Amino acid sequence: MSDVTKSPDSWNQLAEDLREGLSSSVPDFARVVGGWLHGFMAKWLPEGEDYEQAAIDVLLELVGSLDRFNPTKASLKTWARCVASRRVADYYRGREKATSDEAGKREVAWREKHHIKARLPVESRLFMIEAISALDPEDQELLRLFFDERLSDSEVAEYLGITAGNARQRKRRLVEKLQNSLPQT
Amino acid sequence: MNAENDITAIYKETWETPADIQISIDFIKRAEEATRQGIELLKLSAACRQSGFLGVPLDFYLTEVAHDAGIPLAPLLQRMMQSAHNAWVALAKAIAIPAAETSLMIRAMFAQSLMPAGPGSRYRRTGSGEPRLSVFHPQATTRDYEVLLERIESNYNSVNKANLKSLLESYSQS
Repeated sequence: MSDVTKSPDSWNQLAEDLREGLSSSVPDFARVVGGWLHGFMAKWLPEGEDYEQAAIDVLLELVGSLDRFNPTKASLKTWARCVASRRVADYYRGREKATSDEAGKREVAWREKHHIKARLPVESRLFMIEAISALDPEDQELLRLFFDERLSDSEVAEYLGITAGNARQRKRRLVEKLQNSLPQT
Repeated sequence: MNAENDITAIYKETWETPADIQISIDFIKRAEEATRQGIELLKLSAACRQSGFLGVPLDFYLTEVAHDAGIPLAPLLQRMMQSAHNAWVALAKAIAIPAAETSLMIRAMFAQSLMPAGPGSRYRRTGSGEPRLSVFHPQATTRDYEVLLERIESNYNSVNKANLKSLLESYSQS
């Protein structure tokens, strides 16, 4: 897989192609976006759950609501994370603690399988899923630009069409919000 | 570790996935099919927005809109049945048609399902392409519709009342 897998701009382009009815983009969209959803659901849904079906369901929801997708507010990658994390959060919300523990075990086992080490407790990542699902797309996009893309205040500001001071202030506010609701582990 | 580094680390660990994860051919095929069905949902959603409110039951409404837009409805309904008790309600949710009008159409669909055999045929297109008038006629205003439904629902027994409530809740739940 090439750049299209990682670049949010490429994801946006695929979404635009689908909205314009360009069926030749279907295989790429399914492979790239569906592939990411497959990985995410495999990581977070507990053993015994059909994570592939969950990924397919989220993919359908995502494509079926592309008419509400606004790339000026957030990239498709951010939006996909939003829909996927909401699905995972919905799954765990209201369930017994034992089930949440299962999610933790699943994620830890997944890390061992793929040799990916974590520095922080799994409870923090479960919290992040819940927190992300509650944020609006603009705030999620800001986090992605700062934390994934590692852009500077001025680069984020230029990308979003706001001032650097505004970008910095929004980041600080979001970090505080997430930090304050982080469980003490 | 300061707050920002802390949150950054959690954020990255939450989303990270291996770059070389293997995905089966079967999954890719299913993903392509889901993507194509998603495009059909987009088309149906656009067609519904253009059609506006019609004083007819939900199933009839969606069937007519899909027919006029040339959208095959059966595969979409089949998929919705996999995860929902009522495929029509799930489909209405998936395409996000306005909630106030949808709840009226759901109530009409439910009322229709309790009527004696054959009433659905009153809605089928005639040779001229126009639906026939009936109790839920397309010319009804929202208020006409509400009054009619309230009158019909006042005769429901407790089981039917509970079933209707459950159906409406399945639509309103996010």
